[in-house]
Amino acid sequence: MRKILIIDDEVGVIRYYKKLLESEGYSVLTAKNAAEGNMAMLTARDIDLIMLDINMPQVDGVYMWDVIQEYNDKLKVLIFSVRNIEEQKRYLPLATDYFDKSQSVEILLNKVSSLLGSKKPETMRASS
Amino acid sequence: MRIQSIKFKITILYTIALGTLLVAYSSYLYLTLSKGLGEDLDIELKGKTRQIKYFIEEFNRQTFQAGENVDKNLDDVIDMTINLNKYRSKGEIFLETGNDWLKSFDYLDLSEDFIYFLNVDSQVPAFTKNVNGEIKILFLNTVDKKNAAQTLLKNIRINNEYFRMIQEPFYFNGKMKFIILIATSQKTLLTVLKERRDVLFFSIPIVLVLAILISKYFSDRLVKPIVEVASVAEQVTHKDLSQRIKTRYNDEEIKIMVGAFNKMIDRLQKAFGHIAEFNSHVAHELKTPIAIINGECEVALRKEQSNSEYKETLQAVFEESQKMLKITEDLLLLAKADYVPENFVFQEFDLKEFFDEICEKERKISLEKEIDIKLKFLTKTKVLKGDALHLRRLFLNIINNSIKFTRKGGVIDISVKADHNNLIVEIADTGIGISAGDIDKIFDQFYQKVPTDLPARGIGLGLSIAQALAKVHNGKIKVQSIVDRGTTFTVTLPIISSSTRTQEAIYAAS
Repeated sequence: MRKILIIDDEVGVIRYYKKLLESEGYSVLTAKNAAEGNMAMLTARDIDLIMLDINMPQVDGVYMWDVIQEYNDKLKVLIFSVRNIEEQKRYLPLATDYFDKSQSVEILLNKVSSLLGSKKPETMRASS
Repeated sequence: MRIQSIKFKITILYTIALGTLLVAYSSYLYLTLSKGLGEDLDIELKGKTRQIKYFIEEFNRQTFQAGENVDKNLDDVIDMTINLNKYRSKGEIFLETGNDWLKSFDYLDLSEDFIYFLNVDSQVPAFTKNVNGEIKILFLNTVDKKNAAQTLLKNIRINNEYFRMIQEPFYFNGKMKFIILIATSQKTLLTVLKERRDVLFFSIPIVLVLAILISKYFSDRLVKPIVEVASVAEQVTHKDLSQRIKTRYNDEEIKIMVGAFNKMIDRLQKAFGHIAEFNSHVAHELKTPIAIINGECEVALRKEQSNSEYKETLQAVFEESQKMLKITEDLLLLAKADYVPENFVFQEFDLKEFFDEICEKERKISLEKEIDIKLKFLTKTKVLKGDALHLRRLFLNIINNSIKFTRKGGVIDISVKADHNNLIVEIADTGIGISAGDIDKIFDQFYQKVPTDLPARGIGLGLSIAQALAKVHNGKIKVQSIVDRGTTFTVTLPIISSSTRTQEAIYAAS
């Protein structure tokens, strides 16, 4: 089962993304802030995809991105935010893909499946 | 050039002023000249009379022996004197008089004058040959016999020509023998005056036309910057506030105007920038709950769900819509405090009751974090005049903020004091504190800085609203903070001026 880590300070967002992705057969881990994100990455070593919210008040998504890169720069990261994709790209130009929270969840599912379908879940293990 | 334009007004006013001045000055010059010339003519006439009298007297004295019948010869002498040229051409000149006499007499030039010696004793008058019957009658009508002993000067008309006439008595051997009448033409004088009048009559319009042209030129130059400022102002819109007047002007007033104009656009640009930023913040704050409601619904509708799952979805949607409601309420309150402070209702309320109620409410919120809220009521002041509903909001916002940034088991001390004029409320927490660099920003709208380990979430309007509400009450909020030790908010609200303020509001309304 593909494992996805969602990092977002909005509990409401986490709730229905988790529900959506789990209903599609993914294993979902969630983190409300950078600390929980760190913890999740340390404990669950076989994460296939990180979904990172760019606007978190405590630790900015941009900083979190750097932390993720230190863990594993090959890890796929899907940036998402209420800001539009152009703006997201301006903040973090090197992410694997981007998603606007106000878009339909079907688009999110397509993005996730195409990201996880193209590569095998060995990535995380190989780097550690 | 429009009639209402400053340019037109400057030109017209300048022309009227100059025209009036010119006419007045020209009239003055003309009158002075006319008077001067008239006086000259009178002096000349007097001189002539004196000279004639002197001549006659001297002639008599030199020619006749004392005791001779001078009176009898007087007529002849007078006739010879005033008609000297006639006698001279006939060769009947008195050699005794000598050439000097003749020369000085020639110098008087009596050839054009009308001279009439009216004999007081109604004997034969003597006159120059140009005095014909008509003129004689005129002279006789004009002469003022009642004032015969005086020298008189009059204007008369002979053959439609203006003359100046002198009337002077002529005494001989102590008796008034004649009244001398001499009329001399005013032709030269009038010609000079007419020429001068013509010059003035034609030159004033020319000068005025020149004045109009010159004043138009200068008013154009004066008004030009105003037109330029207006053309730049035309280009300023809410979308393009980058325009400024760059031309440097030397005129002080224009400099002031241009400076004020540029500064005004600076302020507008800043204000518009602020509004744009504010709007973008608002949009993003509202976009998150909308996105969640959207996503929740979409997920719920994708597949058939259990009842409890639908309930969860509804619960989530409800929570998010509550959040949106709170955001919009905050924004409206902020706008109200900033732009329509007159909508606040100032009434006296009980302070003790007020703070007890607030603390009770806050204790419920802080229960989970085990934060102890202590209230010390240290003033005899019982009532305050203010908008209690909104003051409550002010204190709730500050205390909520303190709860948010105080770790589990902390303490919040609230003390209510008063000095002569102000109610002073201190809210001191044992929270994480605010760094010196951030302390100035905490009242900024949408400013928020939350450390990792504190699960707090707001939109950053709480303290902005508190400050706006304090301002509505003519009060202030001050902050002191030490990082990791705690923060103290001091709210100062005037006790007197809040009622004065209402008074003012009543006056303003009436």
